[in-house]
Amino acid sequence: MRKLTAVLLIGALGLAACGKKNSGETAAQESLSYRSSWGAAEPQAKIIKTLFDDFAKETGAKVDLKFVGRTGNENLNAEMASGQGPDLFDTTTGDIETLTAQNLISPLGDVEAAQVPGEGKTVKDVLPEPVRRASSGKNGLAYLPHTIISTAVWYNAAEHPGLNPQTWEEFIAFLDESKKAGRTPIGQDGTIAFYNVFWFYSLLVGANGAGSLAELAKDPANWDKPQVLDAAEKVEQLAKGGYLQRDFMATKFPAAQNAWAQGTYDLNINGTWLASEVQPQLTPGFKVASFQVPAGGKKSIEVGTLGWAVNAKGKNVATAKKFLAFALQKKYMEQFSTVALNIPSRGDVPAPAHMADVQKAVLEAKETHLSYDYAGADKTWWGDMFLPLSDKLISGKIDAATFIREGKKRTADHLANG
Amino acid sequence: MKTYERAFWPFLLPALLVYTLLFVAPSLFGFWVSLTRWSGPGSEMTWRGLDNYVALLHNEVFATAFTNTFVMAIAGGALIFGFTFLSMVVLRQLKGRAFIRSVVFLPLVISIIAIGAAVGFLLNPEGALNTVLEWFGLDPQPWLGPEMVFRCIVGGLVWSSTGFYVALMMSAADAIPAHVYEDAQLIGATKWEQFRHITLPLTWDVFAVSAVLWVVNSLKIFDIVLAFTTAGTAAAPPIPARTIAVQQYIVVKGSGLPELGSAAAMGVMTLLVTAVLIVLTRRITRRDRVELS
Repeated sequence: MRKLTAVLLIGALGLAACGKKNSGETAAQESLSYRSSWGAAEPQAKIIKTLFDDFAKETGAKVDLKFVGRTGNENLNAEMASGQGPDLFDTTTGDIETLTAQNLISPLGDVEAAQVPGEGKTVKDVLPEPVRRASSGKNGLAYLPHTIISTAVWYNAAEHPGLNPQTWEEFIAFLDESKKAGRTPIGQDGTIAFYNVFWFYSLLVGANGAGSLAELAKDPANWDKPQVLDAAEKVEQLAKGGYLQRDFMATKFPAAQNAWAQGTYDLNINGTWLASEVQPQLTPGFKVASFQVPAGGKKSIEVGTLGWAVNAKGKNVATAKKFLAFALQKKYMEQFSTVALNIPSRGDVPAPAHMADVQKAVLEAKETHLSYDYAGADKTWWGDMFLPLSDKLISGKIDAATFIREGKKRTADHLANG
Repeated sequence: MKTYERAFWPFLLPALLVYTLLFVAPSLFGFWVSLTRWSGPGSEMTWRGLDNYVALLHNEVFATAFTNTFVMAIAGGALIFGFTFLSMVVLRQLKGRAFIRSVVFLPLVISIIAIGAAVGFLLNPEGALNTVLEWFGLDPQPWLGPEMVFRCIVGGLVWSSTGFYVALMMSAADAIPAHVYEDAQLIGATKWEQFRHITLPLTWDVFAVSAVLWVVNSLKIFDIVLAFTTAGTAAAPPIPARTIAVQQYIVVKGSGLPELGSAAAMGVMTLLVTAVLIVLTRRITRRDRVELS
């Protein structure tokens, strides 16, 4: 009896195994999964939904699309590392190094050479060089960018038409004039340290090009370069001049940017996402426009990107790559401009009117740098030492000379403690 | 004796196995990680020995986070139990005390996201509190600025946690028979004396447990710091507001590679501190049990 059971059992297992194999062979249908960090209510989600529907229709692929929002993908890296996780995921310039070190991204050299369907051009042809650079790591193109992000000083062109100071002196003159007229020139959400550092970073890297901020983390001697003192003195001038709103360091995000949108302040330094964040708060007739911090020198422009990466351990790498070339079609990229109100990654698709200044700056830039000059890569230096020090400078707690002295000393300490 | 010994292992084994698998093994792994440099599954793990610990000891920011955590545990604890005892004195005979108790408990139920949003309305430079101060001719204060934010967080912590301990202690106090208090009143004991000689001794056991619960919870304080500072953004809270748990979050989730080794070292240090504090708390609160005959 026992023997019979054993034979039956083995037989059953064998059948089950065959069944599995057979069903595997018949499933020739492609499939693709994507768990998006966009929220279902965001305009990007609507574009992505259309994209996936169209892709499914044209290729017959079975798509699994979920919108979980920023907080829904907290454990994504660990999931992907363990062989789970979706085929496609969202990423950005600042995450390339982490993802590459964890071997989570499939390099996209082959996607660069692929044709964008129906356009007779390759992926590489339609993505401007700075955009590709901002989306690449040491293994080449790391993800397919759909959106360009950058930093600028934002203002209301209806109030100050054509405002575009070319030198620091012109900029300060505008701030003084604004103050004299009884207005508050700059609104700053001072509890966000990486918004406060926009001033120093834009001044230093704008004038001296890629690497000039990142190098401060690598060797204390770099703090002695005159350009560092120059940028710090300009920030000190902002702090001492009283150009930012009272108690800005105690202003909890997003109070200052919302007040700016309502016309309380003239200027707000921020990323290209600002306009869509404050959209509901904008006073009627507000015309969002921007200019670059007049840093002088090399006039380097920040270029960062957002895009889709392919999970190296995903089950459908080939389909995911096919999707990327499909998604880059003009008709979809146009929606990132018209629906999501962002700067699309393709150079031949115009940005929304209020971002035309930034797009022009990016496309015409002779020099470009990555978001924050990639100085956040050493996170202990960046988060525990540099950003707090930058906060002290812009809040007027220390002057430029102390900033340099402290920065140099603490960088040396940090490097010594490894 | 023989039967007892034979039964021992089969009964113990399942629990031991589950405990080892779900708690002991991950803890040991965590300790192991604290001796390495590691960015998580998929990346290379390199041996660092005690370097992560040495680096933490030299790290001023970690020192601040460590001190802040202690201050929260001790000053926060003193305030919370101060209010709890006070409410036990005041509320015991009050009409509608059940209602007041639930009102005090309410902050615990409110989501931290809502608290974060409310903090902005209330404490921003142009917020409600400063507006009220200005009505009375007082100077507005930078509540959420680097100098004051930590005190505001401790205040928020006391506001949101007290209700829980009030509920716990009051339910113990409710179990004390009314005739004990009646006797005390007959001999002319004041409210304070009643608390001191009746309520406190008879609820001491629950207080000892509450104190340990508070210590354990306070060393994990995290979300309220974010609610008061950078909630809704990817930014790290300012240094004066950081706790160990927040610092841990920053080294794992902030920009750049996750530093799991350093985070694990912080975890091991917190575990040691928790153990010491619990032993201390137990010792301080150790009394002979008072029982009504």
